[in-house]
Amino acid sequence: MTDFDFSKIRSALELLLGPSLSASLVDTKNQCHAVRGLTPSDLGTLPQAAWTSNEYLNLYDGDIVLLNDPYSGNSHLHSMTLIMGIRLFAKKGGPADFLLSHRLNFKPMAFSSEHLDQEGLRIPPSPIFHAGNFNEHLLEAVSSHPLCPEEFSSRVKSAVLQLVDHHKGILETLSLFDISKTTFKEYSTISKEKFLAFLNEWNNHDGCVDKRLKDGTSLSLKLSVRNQNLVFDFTGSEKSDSVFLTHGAAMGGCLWALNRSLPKRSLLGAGILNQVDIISPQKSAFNAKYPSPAYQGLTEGANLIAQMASEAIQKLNPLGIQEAQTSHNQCSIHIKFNSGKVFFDQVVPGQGASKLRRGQDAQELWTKPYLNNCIEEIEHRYPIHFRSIRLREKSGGHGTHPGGQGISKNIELLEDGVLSWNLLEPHLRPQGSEGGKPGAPFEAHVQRGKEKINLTGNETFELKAGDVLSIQSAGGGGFGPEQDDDL
Amino acid sequence: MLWSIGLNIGSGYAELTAKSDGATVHSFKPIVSKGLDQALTEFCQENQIDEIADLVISSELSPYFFEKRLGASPAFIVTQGFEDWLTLNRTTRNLDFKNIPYYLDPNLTFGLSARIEENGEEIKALDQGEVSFIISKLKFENVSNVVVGLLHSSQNSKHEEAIKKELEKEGFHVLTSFNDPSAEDSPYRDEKVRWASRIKEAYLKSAYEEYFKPFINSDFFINNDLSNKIKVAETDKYGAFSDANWNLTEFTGVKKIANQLDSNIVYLGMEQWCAYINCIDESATAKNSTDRPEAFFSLPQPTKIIKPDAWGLPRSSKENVRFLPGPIAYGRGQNLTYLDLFFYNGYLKDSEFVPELTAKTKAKINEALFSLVPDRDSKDLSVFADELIVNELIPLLAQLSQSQKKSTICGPLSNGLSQATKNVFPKLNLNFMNEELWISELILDDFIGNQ
Repeated sequence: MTDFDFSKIRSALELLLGPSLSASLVDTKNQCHAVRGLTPSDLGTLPQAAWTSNEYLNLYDGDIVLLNDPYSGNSHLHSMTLIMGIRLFAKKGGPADFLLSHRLNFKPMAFSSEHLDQEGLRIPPSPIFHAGNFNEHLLEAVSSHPLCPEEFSSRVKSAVLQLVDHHKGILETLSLFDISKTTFKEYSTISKEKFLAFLNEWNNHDGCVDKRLKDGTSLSLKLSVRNQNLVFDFTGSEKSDSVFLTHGAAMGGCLWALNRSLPKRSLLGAGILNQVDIISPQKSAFNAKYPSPAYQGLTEGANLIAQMASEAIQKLNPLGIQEAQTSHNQCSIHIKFNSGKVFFDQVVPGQGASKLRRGQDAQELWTKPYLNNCIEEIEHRYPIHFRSIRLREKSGGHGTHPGGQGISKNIELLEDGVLSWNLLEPHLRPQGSEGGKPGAPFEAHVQRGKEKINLTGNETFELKAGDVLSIQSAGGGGFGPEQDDDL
Repeated sequence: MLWSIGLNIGSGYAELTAKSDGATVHSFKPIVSKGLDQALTEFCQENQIDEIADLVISSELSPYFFEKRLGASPAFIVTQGFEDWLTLNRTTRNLDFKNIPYYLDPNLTFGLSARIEENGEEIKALDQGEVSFIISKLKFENVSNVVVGLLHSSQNSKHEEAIKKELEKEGFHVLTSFNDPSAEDSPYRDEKVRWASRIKEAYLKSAYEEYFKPFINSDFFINNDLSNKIKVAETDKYGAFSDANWNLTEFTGVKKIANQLDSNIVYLGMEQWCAYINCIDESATAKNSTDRPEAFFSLPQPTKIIKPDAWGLPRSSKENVRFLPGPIAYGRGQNLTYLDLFFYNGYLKDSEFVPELTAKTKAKINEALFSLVPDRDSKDLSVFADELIVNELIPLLAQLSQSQKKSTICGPLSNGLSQATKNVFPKLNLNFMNEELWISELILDDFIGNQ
């Protein structure tokens, strides 16, 4: 296979994934051939959701399943997954041999919950489209549920039709690129060779990273290269009573960090993924079960894992990105107004500085941005009034290369509502590296007339019209010792 | 005979079309060495054009001006509290905001406390004292271009218009955001799009003025009395030529052409490649969703250097050699570019494009290609060159070949792409190409049609 043919197959895989930015293509024999996502959790859960759905429902070509249950391999309840069965090489009339997953994000509920069912409506793998028809009963049942997300039915239908449309072009794509089982295998073999050559540059020792969560739970990661496999071993991690992750979240976090360290324009697929092992002990924070709440674990928890994995990779990969910490808190805020409208937003932190340059101001590291922030549109839709959105001055950690600055947001409410949020580690000061100083931690308060009410980032708080919610996201850690003119 | 001339200007070439009484002539003229006036003079002489009725101009210069930082940061008057807003959005998926920090000077950004509500109601009136203070600062900073971007000005433009009036009295050139045409394309009320668009326009103004100064003072311009005959091709209308009217921003022609032809468009020019795919889902749900597919593809550029990436695969790098030093084929370049591949395989022969490929430059291109071809001693380099041409365009071309909508590939390099594709990826059927599509002709036809 020439470089050109390799590139062609890679392009073909990107095309097969379809228009969704969070998608995976797996076969029914547990091989993931391509995956991409907007969040760490996407990378780990998209393939898993597909396999679980197929295990229960045995999909045929063109069948589409919907699920959102985190304990069936999905991400949190407001990240729905559509899985379509595709016949690429199997005999006609038989079950699908490949599964294509697309993720559909809805506005999440971000609050402290004690039970998964408080976070939203749970949908196990359910057939939503078969033989050209929608499962209208299911759509109706979900739509009528009080916890059903806004515009559920219309958005799901639109996404399904997009998949159906995409499905029509799949065989054409296969034919155009001359893709067969053999070419897939060859492509994976070459990907593997390239990846192993990349790993060969890494150090032989282990990269160990330990973290302690706000509830005292210890998480431990040992990263090593063993027998041509990159092993992320979380043995030694404790079980938590307040933070619940799944194996998919752990896998997603590790893959996100790995993808960051790979050369640009890499596509995660079988060649790479088959060389990656994630060991997550049964009795640990990584194997939560129903009815444990999942939102925090599958968002900030996955980000935290990505952070740990990044730090471990830095220890092993001398040629890779050497950088200070970026906060893994997503600072997701959720305000439910008395009128029923729900406002969701994220306040992005500053990025940790690296060996080469200062940290970027207000740049999300653990999620690819997908919210379209238009102040005018938001003020048009919701009873809020932005007083200001600025860079949070002097919030980046000092250093040879200072950390990026966080954001300062001041939001005035025009109607009563309830704020809820649940940051994993609100008091975290993103650490500096190689002598760099830590960034400023997250801060928030409500200004109610002359009264200032401090918030912790883990509460449900009743807001009144006229209150101004002020949020300051964390700054990034600095890299290298402070210069004289910083002092 | 009276002729109308369409002119599409790049940093290295001018593409020309002239029409008169049913006659049409085209040409490509290199302008790096000659200058615009000389190129036009030659064009008119070659085609016996003795009298010009109109000169309609479009431009591909803005990417070049942005890349070389040839513009000047305007002052930016914005709603107080949102001075950092555009910078904070540079990492969104919209590539328009990516380089905004380079065009905005924080020392020239001023917050104004006046405020309009989302329904157009005035919450806080314009403070004359603030405006006067800003004017004095602008004079002190010696700034001439100002952009005014206030929240909800598209609902109530009263404040922006009042500030514009005050500033224009003092001799400043002012662009307001409420009437920016780019906002019409957005399904949301999006202040970022309006503000960014005007800032880029203001930034480019000085670059365009500087660029056109030699042309305005040239014999060709004066002898043909062009000051009243030049029209600038804008997004929606043709503006009169004047010092204050340089709003040739990015090559918006692609989208306009796509809409005119009701077709997907891939434009392969000598210095810019761009594509517009008409795939926007018009449903109400899609308009409100953030999951909209990108209409503009990010393509490699013809004068970008080709280098192996970290996986060892040859790819377009970030470095763009433009025409100084330019591709190897031009005699001064040291690094392989896409244009070199087209010359190497003979897809560009017209002597208007480049002095003939010398043995020395051909040997240099050979060497550069060899260095990219690992472990393939007997590899035919021309086939390899075809592979490189096609490689990074495959996702786009594959998508086009499956699109329901008609597709058009145009530009001087389109024929070469078609040939290269036939050679290395014959299954990809590019029979929708139309090499005769000249941008300069399209803008001229559009102008004439609007008369």
